[in-house]
Amino acid sequence: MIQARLPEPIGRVVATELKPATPHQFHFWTATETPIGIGAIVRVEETGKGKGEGGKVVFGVVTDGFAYSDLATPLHDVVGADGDPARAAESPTVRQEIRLWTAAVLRQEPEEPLQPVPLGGVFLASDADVARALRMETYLQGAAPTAIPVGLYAAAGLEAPVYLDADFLLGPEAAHLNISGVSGLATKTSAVEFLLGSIFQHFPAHKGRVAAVCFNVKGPDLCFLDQPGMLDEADQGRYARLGVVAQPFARVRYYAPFKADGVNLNTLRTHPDLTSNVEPLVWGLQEVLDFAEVLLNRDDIDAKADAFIDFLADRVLNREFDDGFGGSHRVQSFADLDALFRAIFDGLEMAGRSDMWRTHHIATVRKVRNRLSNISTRCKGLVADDGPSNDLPGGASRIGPSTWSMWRTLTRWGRISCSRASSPSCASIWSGATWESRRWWCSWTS
Amino acid sequence: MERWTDALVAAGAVPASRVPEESSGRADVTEIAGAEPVEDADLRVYPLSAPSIPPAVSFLDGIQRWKVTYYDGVVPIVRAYVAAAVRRRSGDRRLRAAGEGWEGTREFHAAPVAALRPGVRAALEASGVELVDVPLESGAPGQPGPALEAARRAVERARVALEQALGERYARSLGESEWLVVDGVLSESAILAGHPRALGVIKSHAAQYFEGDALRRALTLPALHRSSVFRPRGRARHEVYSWYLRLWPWEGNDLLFGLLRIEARAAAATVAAASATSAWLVRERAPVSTPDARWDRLLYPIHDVETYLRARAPRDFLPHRMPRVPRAAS
Repeated sequence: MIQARLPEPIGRVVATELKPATPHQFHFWTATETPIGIGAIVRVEETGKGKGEGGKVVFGVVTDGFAYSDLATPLHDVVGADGDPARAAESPTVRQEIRLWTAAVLRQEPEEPLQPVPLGGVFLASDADVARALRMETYLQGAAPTAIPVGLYAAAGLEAPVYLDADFLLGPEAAHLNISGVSGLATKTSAVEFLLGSIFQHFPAHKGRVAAVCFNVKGPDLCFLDQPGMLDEADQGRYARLGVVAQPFARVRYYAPFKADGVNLNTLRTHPDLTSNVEPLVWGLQEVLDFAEVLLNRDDIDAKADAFIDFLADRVLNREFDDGFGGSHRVQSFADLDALFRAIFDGLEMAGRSDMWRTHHIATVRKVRNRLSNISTRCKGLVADDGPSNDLPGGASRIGPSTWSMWRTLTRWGRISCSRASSPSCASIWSGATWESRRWWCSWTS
Repeated sequence: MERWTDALVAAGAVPASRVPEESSGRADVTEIAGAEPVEDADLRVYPLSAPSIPPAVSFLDGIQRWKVTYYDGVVPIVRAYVAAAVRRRSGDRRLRAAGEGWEGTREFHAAPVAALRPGVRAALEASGVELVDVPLESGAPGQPGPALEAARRAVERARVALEQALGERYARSLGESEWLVVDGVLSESAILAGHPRALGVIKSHAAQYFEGDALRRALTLPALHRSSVFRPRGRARHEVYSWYLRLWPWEGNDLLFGLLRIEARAAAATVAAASATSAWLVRERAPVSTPDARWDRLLYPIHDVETYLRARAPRDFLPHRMPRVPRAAS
């Protein structure tokens, strides 16, 4: 995959008093016809210092470009053309002109002492140069490389593979991956899908296995991950350049909530050929209580409500529970919970005690009842009042807090969207309040 | 009331503005060389015809640099550098070095060897740089001024010789439709003077070829006009034809402003093509070769060759901006 560096210089570093070379920036000229452009990565080689020793090597990225000719003043061009712009193009000779470029230093070798960039030859960066300029060689090489190909650095006519370090992309040391792109052109979604494919093929075995949970938040974007797409020759070449096999995801399971009718799945994936790996995603009271802190707004849950929810989860859920008024409950669903609440309110009223139940104030009990029952109302089809639940493989507890944060964000978006829009164009934002009309998906790929 | 300046113009005088170089102490000797009519018995003024620009043209020029590097007593020792190059222009209108072998340089010391002390002479001969003897004229032995003038002439001769040798070699290799434009005279070289597609472009007019009305017509040529073709006499070693050509209006500047003298092969075809060739050279006015002070007569391609050569010349021949400051505690 790594190509050898091209040997021909395409420019030369120059430095003047007004435009000096510094340890962080330098200027170089090229021929008028040059592949160099903004964003190109170049390599500067200091001329050897004799005794067969090579000099300093500097990598830089082009940040600006200048062009000018030997014209002393625009007036002289007017004079030469007799004041006629049309005649200016008729001169037998074209003026000498320059392409001058400014580049920011990415890396110097050796790194110490850090000195101004030498006035050496400038070369187009090869694959190996890009790897060194972006400091990728540490995880590209070695006994257990951890490089994940993420794309091609395309500039100056070259397409150099770029890799991320799996140690910092996935796992306990990992940071977030941010992707920016033009909206509405499938740029970001395509990038994510490619990255997932690359991760599944290149994730180092010694680091374990990877699965991905994808929330489809608009249209059919992620509904057909197991189906082949159209790739032209250029795209296939890029896949090959990165060593990634261009193929659909092999093992995908789709989870879709029910429609409001509680019978049909709310999905675009209804073709008989595509339903074999689709199953309902249904959450019950257990799942909601497990993650009440992310499903409920912090403004709704004060310390007292939080304590009461913990009490329900620890002492009531899936247990034989005596309500204190002679009734016994085994709460497994929202319906069971509501029956318990009704028994409590009735019992308190019958006993003539109206303010406290098992150290919890009746207002707190009513508030929690309101918030919990509201979830099943808002998320009708996803959160079931009764009946069995069906969660992602391994249960929601394996997804991790960051995914739940995303879930919570989505629910918040849903509220906003719900309150202000009924326009079909808003379908690009998932709305929890319009479950019945939205195609919401959760894809599990591995 | 009419101003006297208006009266002067009304009487036929033409306004001018020129500070002669002589005013700063330099004196050029004007030589009356003489000429034989070729195209017309009396020198006439011709308008130009449609230009005929060759598809490929090469331009030859040279530079010289020299400076006094040592004094042996009061005898100056000069270090000199001369260079010449050919730059070629073809379809894309860009000038490029003509290639390997079409550029020459020479570096040497110039001094009156007989006036040097033996040790100094031996050191110069052992320097690895050629030593050119510049004999002093018998009238001024030991004077530094004449020695410097002799050195200047030696450097100039070296530059002309380098240009000539390069031009002759290049002219032999010219393609069927290619032209060679030389900065300076052709008449010093038999090969260049006889080449059908070589032109000499002369910017300086120290030698004059006419007197009286013919001289007036030659030096007051209107812009974009040429004179009749004539055969220059005087120092010309080899037969060439020549004519004057005005690139820019001289009124308001100087008689010689924008005035070129062209040299070409002494042949009937040269006369027939003089107007078209002149029109081509007029097209070479653009781009203007500013900021060079001689831009009115300096064709841009020639300016380009000079720029090329200057850029490649050793930097230690550049004059200092100010006299060197004495060393501290010296």
